Amino acid sequence: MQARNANGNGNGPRLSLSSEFGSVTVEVDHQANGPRLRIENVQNGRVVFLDPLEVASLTWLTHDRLGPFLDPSQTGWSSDEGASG
Amino acid sequence: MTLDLTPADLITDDWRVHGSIYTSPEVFAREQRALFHGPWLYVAHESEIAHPGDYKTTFAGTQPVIVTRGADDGEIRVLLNRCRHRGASVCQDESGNANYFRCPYHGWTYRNSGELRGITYDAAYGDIDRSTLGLIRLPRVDSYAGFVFASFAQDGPSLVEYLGNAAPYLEIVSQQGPQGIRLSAGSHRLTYNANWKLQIENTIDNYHFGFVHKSFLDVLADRIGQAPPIMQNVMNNPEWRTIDLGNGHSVHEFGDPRTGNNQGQLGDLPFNLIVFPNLCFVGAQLRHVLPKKADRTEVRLYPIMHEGVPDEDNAAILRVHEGFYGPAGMGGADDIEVAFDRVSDGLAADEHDWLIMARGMDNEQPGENGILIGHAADELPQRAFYRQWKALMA
Amino acid sequence: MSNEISELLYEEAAAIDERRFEDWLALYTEDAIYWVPQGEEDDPVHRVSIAYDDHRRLHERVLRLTSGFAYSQDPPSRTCHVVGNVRVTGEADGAIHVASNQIVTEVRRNVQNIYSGRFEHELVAADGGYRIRRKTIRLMNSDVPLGNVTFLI
Repeated sequence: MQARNANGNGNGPRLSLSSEFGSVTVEVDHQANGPRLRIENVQNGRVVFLDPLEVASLTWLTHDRLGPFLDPSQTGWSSDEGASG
Repeated sequence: MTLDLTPADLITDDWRVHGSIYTSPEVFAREQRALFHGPWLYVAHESEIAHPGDYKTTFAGTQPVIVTRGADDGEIRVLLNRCRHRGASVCQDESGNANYFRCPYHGWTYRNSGELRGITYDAAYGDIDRSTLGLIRLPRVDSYAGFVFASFAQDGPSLVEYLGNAAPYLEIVSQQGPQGIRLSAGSHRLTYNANWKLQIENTIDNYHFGFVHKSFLDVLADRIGQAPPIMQNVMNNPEWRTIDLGNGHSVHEFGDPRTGNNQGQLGDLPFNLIVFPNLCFVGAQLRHVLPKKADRTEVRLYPIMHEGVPDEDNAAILRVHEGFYGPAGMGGADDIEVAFDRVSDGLAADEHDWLIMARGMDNEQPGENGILIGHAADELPQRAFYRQWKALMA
Repeated sequence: MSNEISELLYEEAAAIDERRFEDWLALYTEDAIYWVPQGEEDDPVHRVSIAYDDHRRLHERVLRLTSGFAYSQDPPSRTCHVVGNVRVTGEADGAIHVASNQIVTEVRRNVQNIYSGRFEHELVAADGGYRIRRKTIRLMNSDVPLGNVTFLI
């Protein structure tokens, strides 16, 4: 039994996480065959869905290992791909 | 107005002080190099950056800095809050949590330890060496008893050596609560149009208490039936004393530094302490004095909360602090009026620009470890500060 | 009813501006709280406020303001309150909750300062009228470095 969130689509409550550098919403998504973590970047509308194993794997993270995702020349502001961030 | 006197001439051996030390932009600029470049500068208490990724923005001298707790290694670093690209300040919030900082101007992204992680659309930079473009780190950061200091100088005395005889007092401050202390209650912010050194001098001056704060003594008398004998103790209690701790530091003890009290208020520390050049402890607060210009200063008052006591006890400390200190306080505002604004007014009469800081000058008694001990109403703490000032400004 | 409420706010402002401090204090209940939070803080238990005064401390402020030895009020501030946007926002715990926007012009030592913000009063019925059980002053500039704010806001 799943409570309805503001979207009325059966997902869990939408939580916000903001700092002066970034803003996301996070919710448990129930639209697929199993629950996923739905993460939306408020600043550009990009969305990613992570399954529970993927989320579990994140607990192996060090902040340093996230580096490639924080390098803007590799994500969203690449000279090769042009403006997409 | 150009400076006709060298710093050595501005304070004489018999403690005549030239008013231009408070008013001259040249002196102010010289202080920023001489007093704020070599010495260890207070930047934060460890409780303000307790978790990995935590950061606080503050000032080292007049320079904006970010104090960060390393994301993976938990190490405390102090970075200039200035993007290496075109100079924008990177962090705007006074405190936050971020393991990476992204400059809002062009998206340059730094690790919170300072390294440049990446540049947007970077092909235009060719083979530029990113490792040389991180946020500038102050070369030395260290903490003592939970108080974090940093220095712009690569070399020099260690923090412990620098603190010298002031170190045991910092330890006592850190032990005010049964499980320690934290700075978690925010801070009062004050500003006044006069020199930063006036605030330092006034913080450790008990000679003025019965005069400037007469109205507060009247309030205490109304509250508890009679005024606490603060001035009587200042003038007559041999356990109340001023001490030149060396290196510019000074303390005013109200009896035993572990247990004494100034007969003032709940939560008050058993002493007033100056850690050269701009860190003070008074009342129940840590006081950070921020020089802005020769005639402009900001002051931040951080009430010291006790770890391991109920919320109500800490709330009571806040209520007492607010009664005296802060912009609406019934004590601190009188200091701003008399000791800063009216002094600023008076200093304009500089036809004869000499002041006198000689109270108790012939009464300084040597103690252990190079300290000098004086009477509670002596201007010994002020002389302690300016001894170091003269040495560094020479 | 709302006319009587705004009249109370106007009378409070007039009492301050006309330096009738005892009259002003008499508008407050014995268990009153006068709160000037700093910044967005809403937690006086854990965070420092510019002022969080009970009746005892309000009495002490009035004492200081009339003593002549409060140097931060010598010379005294001259104030002019403009009270506007008065609305009843609800009723709870036996008190009527009133919100207003106020602008306080303060002149002292040849400098004019403007303070403004949202003021929140809790009024309780007393003596055929109302008295103030709580006044919260949310200044626009409460987290900006301030100077002398020792006058009654």
